[in-house]
Amino acid sequence: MAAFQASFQPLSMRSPEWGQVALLPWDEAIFGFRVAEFRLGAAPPGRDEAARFRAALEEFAAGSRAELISLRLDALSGPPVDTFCGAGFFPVDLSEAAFSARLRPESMPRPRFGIRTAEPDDYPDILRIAGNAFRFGRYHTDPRFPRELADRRYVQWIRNALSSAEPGVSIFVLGVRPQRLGFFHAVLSDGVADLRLAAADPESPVGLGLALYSETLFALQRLGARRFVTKVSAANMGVMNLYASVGFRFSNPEYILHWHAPGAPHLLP
Amino acid sequence: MFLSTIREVSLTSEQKLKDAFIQAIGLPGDTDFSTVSYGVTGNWDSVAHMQLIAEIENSFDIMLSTEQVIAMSSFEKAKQLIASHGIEFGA
Repeated sequence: MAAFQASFQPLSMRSPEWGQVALLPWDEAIFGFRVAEFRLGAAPPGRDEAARFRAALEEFAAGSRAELISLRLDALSGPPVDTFCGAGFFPVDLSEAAFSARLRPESMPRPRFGIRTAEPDDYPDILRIAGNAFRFGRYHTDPRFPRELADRRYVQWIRNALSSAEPGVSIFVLGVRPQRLGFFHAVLSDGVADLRLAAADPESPVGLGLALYSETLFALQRLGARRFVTKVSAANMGVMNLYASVGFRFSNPEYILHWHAPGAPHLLP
Repeated sequence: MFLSTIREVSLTSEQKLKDAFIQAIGLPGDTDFSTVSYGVTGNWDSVAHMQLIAEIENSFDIMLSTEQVIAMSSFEKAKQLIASHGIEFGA
């Protein structure tokens, strides 16, 4: 596990207050090339420091062979996005936290498909769905990031979840066996259900997301969930409408920006 | 007289179905319903779909199977599936 720990270091020794950067070994293992994350420090670079900031990013990328660096910005109280655009970052996503303290059964469809815990014979279909269902998330919305690699990340995500020994992990499947209409990965701890990844089968003739989410929420409630939390891409209107329809509220908007190393060989032109 | 009654029943069923689509998906009244289908018609997402199913079940007093819920991917398909419950539509 030691290999899968990010080690954050100042991006610039001259300006350590800008923030810290680290390679993300779990993403490197999936993509086959290096990606990194930059976290803002106490005094992020200003607009007038864009050229020096860009040079520091390029120096880090050259030394570490990172091809992509990500950055999250608090959309309400963080520095303006254009401060970082001057150094070559560009926005790829707007992420929001979503939460619900109480389900509203009157606003949810009655359970009709059935929800069950995934069994090993479900795994191939779960992996197939994970590899084809996603359109949002920062790697999918980065126009230079290869789609196949972005899909592969979600496949690896759910593969890890299926073999996880973490307490409270649930992988649900929508549909009565042998139907597999979608899956839902959630972690329940101290009455809080963390809704981590879900997808309805993209081969279905119609969208079954609401059925998947509502039946999963009921199942988690039966398991003891009293509060539900998740993160969602604001561009994903289908999921935003879905959460809104069952009473979730949204908070903590964050811009997610990417920076590409000059000449990055694995990124699209 | 008999033909006229059949026509009235058929028109009523068609209009009830159109009303269900208008309510659930938010379609304007002058929509060409023959072209309404999932993936093509805007706003027909998973939330609208389950609202549509509930509207249809209430309007026609029927219970759709899960297979029918999944198969209901267009206005024309909806007519076929509802007709299988003995509801008459025009030819």
